[in-house]
Amino acid sequence: MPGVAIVTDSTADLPEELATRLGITVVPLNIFVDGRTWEDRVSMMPDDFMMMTSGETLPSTTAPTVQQFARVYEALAQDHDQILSIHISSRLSGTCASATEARNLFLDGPEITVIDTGSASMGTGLIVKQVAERAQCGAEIGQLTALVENLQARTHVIFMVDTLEHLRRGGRIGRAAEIIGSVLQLKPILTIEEGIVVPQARTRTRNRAITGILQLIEEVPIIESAAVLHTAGSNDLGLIVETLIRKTGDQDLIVSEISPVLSTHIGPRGLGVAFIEGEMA
Amino acid sequence: MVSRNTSSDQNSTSNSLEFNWDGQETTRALRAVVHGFEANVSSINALNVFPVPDGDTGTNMHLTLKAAISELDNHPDGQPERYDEVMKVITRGALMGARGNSGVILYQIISGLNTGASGAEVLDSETMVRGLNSAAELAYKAVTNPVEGTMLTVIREVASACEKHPGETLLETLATARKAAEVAVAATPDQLPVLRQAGVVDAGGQGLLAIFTALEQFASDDLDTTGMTLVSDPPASFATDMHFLDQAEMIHGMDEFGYCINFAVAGDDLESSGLRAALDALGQSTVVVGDATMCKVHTHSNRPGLILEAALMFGDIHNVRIDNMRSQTEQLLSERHAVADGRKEPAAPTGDPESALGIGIVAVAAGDGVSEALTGLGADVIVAGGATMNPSTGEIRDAIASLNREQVIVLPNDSNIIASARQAAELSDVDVRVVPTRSIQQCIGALTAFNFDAALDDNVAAMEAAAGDVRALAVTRAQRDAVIDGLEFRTGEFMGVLDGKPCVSGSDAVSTVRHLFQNASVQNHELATIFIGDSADETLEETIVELLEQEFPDLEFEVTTGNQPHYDLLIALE
Repeated sequence: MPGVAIVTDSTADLPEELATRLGITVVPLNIFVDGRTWEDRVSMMPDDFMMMTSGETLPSTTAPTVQQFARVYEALAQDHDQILSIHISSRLSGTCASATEARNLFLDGPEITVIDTGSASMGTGLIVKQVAERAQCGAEIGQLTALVENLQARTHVIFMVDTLEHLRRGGRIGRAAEIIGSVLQLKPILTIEEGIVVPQARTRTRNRAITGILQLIEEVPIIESAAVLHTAGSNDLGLIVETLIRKTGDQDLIVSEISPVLSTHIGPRGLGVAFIEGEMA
Repeated sequence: MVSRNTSSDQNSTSNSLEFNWDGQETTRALRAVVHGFEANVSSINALNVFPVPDGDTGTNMHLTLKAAISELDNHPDGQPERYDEVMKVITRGALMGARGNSGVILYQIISGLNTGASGAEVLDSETMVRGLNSAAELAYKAVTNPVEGTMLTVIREVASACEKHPGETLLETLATARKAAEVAVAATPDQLPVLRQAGVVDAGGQGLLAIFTALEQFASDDLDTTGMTLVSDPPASFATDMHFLDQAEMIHGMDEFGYCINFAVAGDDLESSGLRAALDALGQSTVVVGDATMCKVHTHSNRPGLILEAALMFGDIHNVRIDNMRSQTEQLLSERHAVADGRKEPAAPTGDPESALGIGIVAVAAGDGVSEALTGLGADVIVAGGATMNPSTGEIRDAIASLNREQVIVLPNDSNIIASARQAAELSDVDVRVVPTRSIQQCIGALTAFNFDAALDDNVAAMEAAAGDVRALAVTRAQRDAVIDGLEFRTGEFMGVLDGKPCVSGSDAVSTVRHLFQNASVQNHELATIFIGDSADETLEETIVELLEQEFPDLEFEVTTGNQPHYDLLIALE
């Protein structure tokens, strides 16, 4: 197959059907629970995961191995000269590092470009989606990397966690220390900025957190594309979905369940949005 | 060796009525005022409008006065000789020691007297009038919305009476002042409906009256001719525990000694310095005042017998009075301990260089659980204190300084602490803003709204708005019988307080909290955060949560151990 092969990782939270349709190869991260290894979104799906982690045992997560990437690249190299590998923020995961190591193994092979989106979940997913669509239309690698760069600056992820327990157990993610010390319940609104998780605002009830996210969305003049994200148990996505459909005009708004790997840090009943801001005229 | 006379009157045999006060005499007068005031603390405390455990005006004014005097004790150059110097020193002490609204206004009054003292070697009638006028002026300026029927009215009436009828002597002017204060205090219930309703006079005004009464008594006492006039009859307007002892006593310190010992030593050629040295070695807070024929002694000791034995070496002893201070101070001590138990060390540095540059937050709180909750929400340092123990301006300023930040937000968490927080802010070298939170509940709202990345002004605005969105519910016990808006409260019974106002009375905590929730338009709120106080019954937590969850199914409840004193429950409705 001619053209550029597009690779991402499981934390991009792309719906499987979409990835298949756009010919995107998804490399899974890994989860360890009770001495067993599971592949994110492959051998463990979001639903299984929440059941498994309700107990005391803390799951741990790792980036795809160099070997995992190498096998994927090797397979793709059979019929592609160029591979564009687009991933979760290198400040949140070792995924980009593994991909880069794997790329360095191919001395004479395909031209592999690894890109750190500085984002996560559908923040990465929305970028990958647009790039894959353009790749299918025959765009060249230079155009695609320029597109990623352009989209990165306009991509935002805003989410809330329903419990601080998982951020606490997972250790510090970015500046989570500002919120995890509380005795009283907090429903913080978080964003990803410059590749790390940053508390955006603190609220004390779920409704206020959702209202806060809605307000932040409303403040954006134009939203080009968007997706709604959630972990298990979030039944109150209605208002956010409605608002984003209104703002994007996209009746087929993507509602994506966050991968087990990210859920490890977010916990149940987390929800959020990823969107790409429209370019100013 | 002490004479009531100024130096030029050394040989005068007339009584002290016509004498002005130099620095030394003013200092003695001030000590007498502090002591005289102490006897009134509890009766002034009892004059609170609502029978809730709240800002004790008597305690606050007393501690502010004590702080003013102790500045004099710690003065590096010894006791100043000049009146204006004394006033300068005590003004500084009152500033740092001001507690509560009444303390802050008292500081303004002292500061006004200091302004009037400028250039005055001695305090005479004219200087007093000048000082009272600036005192009234400054006190009014210090309050954003001056209300009549308070200590402001009293100081203004005193100033105006003394201006119209200045005495020829200081004593006459002080007598005019005291009389004017009496009339003004008695009129406060007519000016302020809440006072009338509660059947009390204004506590701060009563405190001023205590001060002017003590000043007049000090001035009229005649040590030289009669030796001892230990007890004067209390003015009729005072509560029964007004027992103004004499002019030479030091206040009770919070030392570990159990007895307050007062007596006189008479002799032909008394060596007062030797007597003072001997008693100093045996007792605490020792004061010896008098001349070669008669000295008065006040000291604290666990062994009163030893003190008396030692004094016998110098002369005959008379008028011995020994009081057990422990019983008097036990209650205050236990209150203080309760507050001190809630004291938190400043949060350890996080090592995050960004946070060192950020905005620091100082919050006032009592109870370790409450303090921990506020710290978890982002308060960097907790100043121990609250409704019943207002921290001083100096304590708040020190907390601000301890943060070492360029920008600091102070959350006073009690309406009676806002003024001293503002004063502390003014005294600080860094940019300090006071978000005028009136309760711990409001503080939770304010802290939640704090944004680490936002600018100081934006944070202050957001925190003020968020504090206003929180309803503050509390359950406590009535401190006295009272009728408020037709509701009867009996001492010791439960009372429900909504946004600072008592509105529910009940015989048990559970029914009280239930009625309180019914009064609070719960449907507009999502979350009730409940702090269990240290006086609460052990089963209360379980009982109320079960009941409230059943009755208010749409409301989310979060219960935590607050260990706050006096309030069985503090509830924030968000």
